[in-house]
Amino acid sequence: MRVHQLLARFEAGDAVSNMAMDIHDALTARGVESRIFAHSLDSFGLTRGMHESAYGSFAKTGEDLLIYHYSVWCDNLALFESSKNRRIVIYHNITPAKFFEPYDPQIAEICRLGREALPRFTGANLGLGVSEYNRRELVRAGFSETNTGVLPIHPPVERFDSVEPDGQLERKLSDGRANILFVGRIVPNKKIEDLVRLFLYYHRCVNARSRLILAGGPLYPYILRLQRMVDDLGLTGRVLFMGKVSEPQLVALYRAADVYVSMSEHEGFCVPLTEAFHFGVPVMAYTAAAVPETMGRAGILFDEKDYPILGEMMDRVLREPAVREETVAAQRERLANFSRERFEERLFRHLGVFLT
Amino acid sequence: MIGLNGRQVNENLLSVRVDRRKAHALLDPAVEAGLAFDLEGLVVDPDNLTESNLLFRLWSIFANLGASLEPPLAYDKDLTKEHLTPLRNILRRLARRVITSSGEGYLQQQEYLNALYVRGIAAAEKLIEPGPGLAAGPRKLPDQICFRPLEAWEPELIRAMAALGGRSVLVFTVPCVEMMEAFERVNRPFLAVGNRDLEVSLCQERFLHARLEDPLEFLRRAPAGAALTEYGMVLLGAPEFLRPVELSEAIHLAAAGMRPKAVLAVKVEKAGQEGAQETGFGPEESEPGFQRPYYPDFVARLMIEAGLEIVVEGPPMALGRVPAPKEPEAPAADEQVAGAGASEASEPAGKAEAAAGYQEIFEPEPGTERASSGAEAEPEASPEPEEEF
Repeated sequence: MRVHQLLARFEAGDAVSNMAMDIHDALTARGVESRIFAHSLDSFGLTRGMHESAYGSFAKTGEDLLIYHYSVWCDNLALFESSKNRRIVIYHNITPAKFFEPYDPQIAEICRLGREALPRFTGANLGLGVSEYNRRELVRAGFSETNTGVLPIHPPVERFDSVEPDGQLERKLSDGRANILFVGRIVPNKKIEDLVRLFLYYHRCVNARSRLILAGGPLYPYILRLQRMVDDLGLTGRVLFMGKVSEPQLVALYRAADVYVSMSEHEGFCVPLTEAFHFGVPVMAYTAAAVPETMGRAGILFDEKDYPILGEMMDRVLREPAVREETVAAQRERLANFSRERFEERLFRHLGVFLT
Repeated sequence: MIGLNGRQVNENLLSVRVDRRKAHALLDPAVEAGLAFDLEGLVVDPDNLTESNLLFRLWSIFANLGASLEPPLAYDKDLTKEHLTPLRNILRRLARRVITSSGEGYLQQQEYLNALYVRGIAAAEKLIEPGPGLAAGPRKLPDQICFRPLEAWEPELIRAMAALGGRSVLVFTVPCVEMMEAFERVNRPFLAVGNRDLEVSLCQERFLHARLEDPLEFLRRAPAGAALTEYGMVLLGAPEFLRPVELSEAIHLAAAGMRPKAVLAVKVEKAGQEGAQETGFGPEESEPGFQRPYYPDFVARLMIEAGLEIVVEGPPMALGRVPAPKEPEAPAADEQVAGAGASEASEPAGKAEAAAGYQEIFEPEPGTERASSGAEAEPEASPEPEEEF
């Protein structure tokens, strides 16, 4: 009995790749033979995985289990479809095309293709969503209710404990200014423009001693407009576009952050929320897609983007230690729900019938 | 609905705070327009770099080359000498690439790099001291370095300033939040513009109308000082963060834009001490946050140069280093009146002692009434309703 995982990309720091690694480690620890295959691999991926072409020799045995991580349209979907092994799809969600249409029609087309291909997975033995939100999308695509389940990601936040933060960055950010943080790709579904609007109110009306930090690789046509927006609103130098950051930088950012804010309107899980939980940073997040599930009954959730009201709420979080402590305590409790132990327990509950 | 740990937050309390900010003009039409900013409809020319984009690209180049210019907070204009070398190196590399691409005929690349290089130099000039090969140009005001709030003014001075000049006040460089509160107490509308975010945030915290903005830029932007005509007084509350040339420009711009009989008040150090403002302060002046003491004689000279009249109240004082002026003419009825704010003052003087040009400026003496104000300055108790803004 062997378990194979197939991905589009296997890369360091990628949430889907991390989940594949977690599954691999859990299986290996139980003595199950496990392999990871991907369409593209970076230097990290090459040390732990193989190119998808290597899966071909296992595809026809019919005795193994194939787990396909679906997060983006990829040609290796054909490998999944033609495989004779028992098959499980883990759906990480694909951003609806409408978010990208104004900025990048090509990416919008890839998203559209990806979402349209979802019914092609209905022949799988099991469909798992990393959130209930994703599971429901599988059902809408044609999966039966009984043939689906939820397997939340185990965010590997413990790894941060052994990372030395970038001291220079942390010192620079610890200058008494309020640091409002967002971590994630700078792409349209994250609604960075709404974050800038919220910051505009906060900075101009509530607390000039503040900055907005955006850490994540950008979609260029989108960031160009955002940067123009920032300049036009007179926020140059107060909104920091950090680009993709290293782990030491990321740790420094979380340690220096006073509040984490997400205005995102589409998330399949949203790992950075749990990272903020780990670092004790109060989180404010817009209620969209899988965000409320990840947050649980912790942190600050809002269902309306009323910037002045949110700006005042953010000020409360920043200025009132009691509010902050209460928020952070609930977030820590919530984080326990995504521990490695809970992840493995859920994993083997779903895989049990296939592993026997 | 806002939920905190699953419990609904009382948004009425938050709404009250929003309304207070509206009432105090902190939430102004410009902010409301910004909240409605249309990003999708924005047309951006990818070849026309915005400042943020340029800085982002430079930051990326630094990062790719391993030049540690972290964080990109260097945008905050507080680069130190340790950052200088990598920045110069990268500009040198860019220059080399421009030359190489030019020599190889890669026109498109050449144009791109050329634009990047030129804008890079412009950004570098804003960020650091001009170095070899970089032409000296105007720099932004140093700021964001002092982490302590400025010391509160003496209560007597605050009371005196609160009673000085016409009703509405433009506070140009924010001295201390207590001064703003005093304006609020006597019901004088004001706008405080400063580039030290600490003082501005303290004002915002108390719902006082303050704006974080480069004050000189604020004045420059106003066409022919038109924005100043609505103010009965312009108060340069913290000129110590301005270089002499910037202080001079600020006084000239204010003088050009103020309405007749309006008062310009500038905070100065105690009189009778030596100052060296005319020649600068040496290399330390380039340090961001460097504070320059300005003395009455120097400020008076700038005011005279700007065509303002100094009205002296209180006992006379020898100016010492300032050259004697021409014999002043009697002020016309609609002439602008300017005064230099004293470092100490008590209640506003009821009557000007003499309109004798700038030959003498009051010297602080304990217990004496001293406040510079125009002979025709409006009294505190007679606000001008038409000046509301």
